[in-house]
Amino acid sequence: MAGNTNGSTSQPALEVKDVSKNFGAVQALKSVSFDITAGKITGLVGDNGAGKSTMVKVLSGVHAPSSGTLLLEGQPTVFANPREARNAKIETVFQTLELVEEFDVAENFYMGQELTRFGPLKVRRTAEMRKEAALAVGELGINIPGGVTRRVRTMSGGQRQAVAIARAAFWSSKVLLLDEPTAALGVRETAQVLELIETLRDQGAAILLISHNMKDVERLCDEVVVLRQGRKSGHLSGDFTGQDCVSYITGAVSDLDPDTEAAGL
Amino acid sequence: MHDKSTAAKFDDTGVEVAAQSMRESLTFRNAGIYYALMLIAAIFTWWTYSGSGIFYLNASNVENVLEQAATPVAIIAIGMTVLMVSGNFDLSVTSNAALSAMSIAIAIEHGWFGFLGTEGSVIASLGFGILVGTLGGLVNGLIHWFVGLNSFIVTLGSLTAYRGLTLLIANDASVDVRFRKELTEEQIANNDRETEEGLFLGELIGDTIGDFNLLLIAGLGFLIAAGGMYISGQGAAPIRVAMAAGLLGVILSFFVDYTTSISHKLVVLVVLLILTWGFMTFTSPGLHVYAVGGNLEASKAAGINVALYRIVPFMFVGFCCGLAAVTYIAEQKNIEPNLWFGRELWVLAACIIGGVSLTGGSGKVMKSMAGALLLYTLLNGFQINRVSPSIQDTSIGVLIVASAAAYVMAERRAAAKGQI
Repeated sequence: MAGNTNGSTSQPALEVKDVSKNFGAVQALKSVSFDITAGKITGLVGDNGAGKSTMVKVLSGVHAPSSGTLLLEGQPTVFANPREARNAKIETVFQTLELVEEFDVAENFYMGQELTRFGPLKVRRTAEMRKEAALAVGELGINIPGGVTRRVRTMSGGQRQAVAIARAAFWSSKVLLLDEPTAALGVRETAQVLELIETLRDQGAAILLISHNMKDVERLCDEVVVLRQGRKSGHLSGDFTGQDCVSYITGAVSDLDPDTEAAGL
Repeated sequence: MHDKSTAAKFDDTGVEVAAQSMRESLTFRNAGIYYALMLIAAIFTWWTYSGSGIFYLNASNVENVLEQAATPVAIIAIGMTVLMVSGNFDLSVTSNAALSAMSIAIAIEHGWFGFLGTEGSVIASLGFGILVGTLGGLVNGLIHWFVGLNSFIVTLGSLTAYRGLTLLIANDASVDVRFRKELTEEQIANNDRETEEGLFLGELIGDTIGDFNLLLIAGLGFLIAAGGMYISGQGAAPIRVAMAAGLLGVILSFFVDYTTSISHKLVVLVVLLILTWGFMTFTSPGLHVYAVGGNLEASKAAGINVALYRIVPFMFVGFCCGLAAVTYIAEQKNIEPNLWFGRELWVLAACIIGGVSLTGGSGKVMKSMAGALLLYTLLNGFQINRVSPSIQDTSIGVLIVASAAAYVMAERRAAAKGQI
């Protein structure tokens, strides 16, 4: 995995500038701006319907923004489809994980982009792919008994989540979008996945973490963007607690001036 | 939960592998179908020998079973396996095969390709039949994908529609399959009736390709398989099994005279089987067939062209139907419009006995092949031992359900042990 290890914070990996998204008359996102920086974990929180999912879909190329721009390493970028976002090294781990249960770890890693030989015969380079996948998994300190030839269907939820995140990191050297990575996990497995996310941050990945779990957010995130009714109602950094986030999420506290908020309703 | 696999295994490149060890690849779950086949062959050997003193597994009877199984069930089951792995299935296969066969017969009857000379018209007519079969599959695939209809419904319709078309083009009667040779001046002068009536394909190409030792052929097949596995970098255990089986077959062939005449359709079956097995096991498009059957959304997200991988397997089944029609015509003198009526269920049965998942994502062509052989071994053994047809049917029905139940229970047991 070619991590972006320069760690310089001079330029964000991905800048979101005044992004709005309308679905007919419904304004799902209203002029939201924030940065995702290499070597940092940025949290994206908000109540149900606040626009988190829409934002992830805009960033991963599923939806095009109605207005506003995305700057990838300073360059304005438009994604026509998820494929283009992936080619631009933005990888998303959705809650559904998108793993094939009958496949082993290595096969899932390379699905759709297998290494092959003998030209048009497209014979898979199985050994090589296993080796690369094992290397990547090892670097992240993920322990899967049985290694990369273990089938996903035999794995626990935490192991699956780890495989999905490791696969995203394997293909992306720039930006990782993680959608509720611990939502379906137990305590011990959550701890393992959080550790994995920290490892990725330490290796220089720019991570956007969408989460409902304020404990995770408090522990992991360097800064947090709070969405409320499609707007950015808060932007916390430095010393903040999960309770601070909750105040912004519920609207008890807001950076938006009250008139704008009222008008937005 | 995983204490049994704590002793990590590593392959030649130093990668930790959970891949099949020798012991695991011989478990009931992974090799049960082959055990069942051997068991049934053993039972019939004993039964037939004690009953009539005949050695059931003699070379010509083995070739007999292979031939009975090949057309249409085994050949179409290969295509059906690929289709089922991709997440669909096809009820219209034997109607489609009958339509292909009838198309060939009519092309010959009306001399559509007569301008190509005798050989040319044979090849063109057979090719035409395969094309018809492939198109039949394509139509199913296009309707399934673009209309978004479940493949059960689509092919339930084409099951009837293709049979109807067959009856229509045949005028509800059987059609002779004769290739007219170009007559020489002398034959015309002599009014040589026999030549004028034309030849059956079997008479043109000969009934068989000659006599071969089955052990030698099987042995070479295993060695080729081992070579393929080695080149593609598969695990060591299956390679060793295939190598051992191959060498055993080749060595035994020097001492045991297991020679019989090999028909054309066996050659077609074996070539189709090896090519399909190689494609599904070793290539990246082969893996994508498993991917779209296993998780369509994930395949889409991985950038796999899911429409292609959902439609082409339908075409491949159709292609296999065309091939089955060709191998049938090579040995027949006329084609009935109700050819293979109801046999599509045998094709599905062969796949299910072979352990192919009805929901897609898993299945092996070799095992479906073994499933087809199991069915026809039973049928052949029953016939040799003069078992009444009603008991034959009952036994085969029981076998289908029992094998499916065995798979489910084996999966459940392995899941309970945490092995899968």
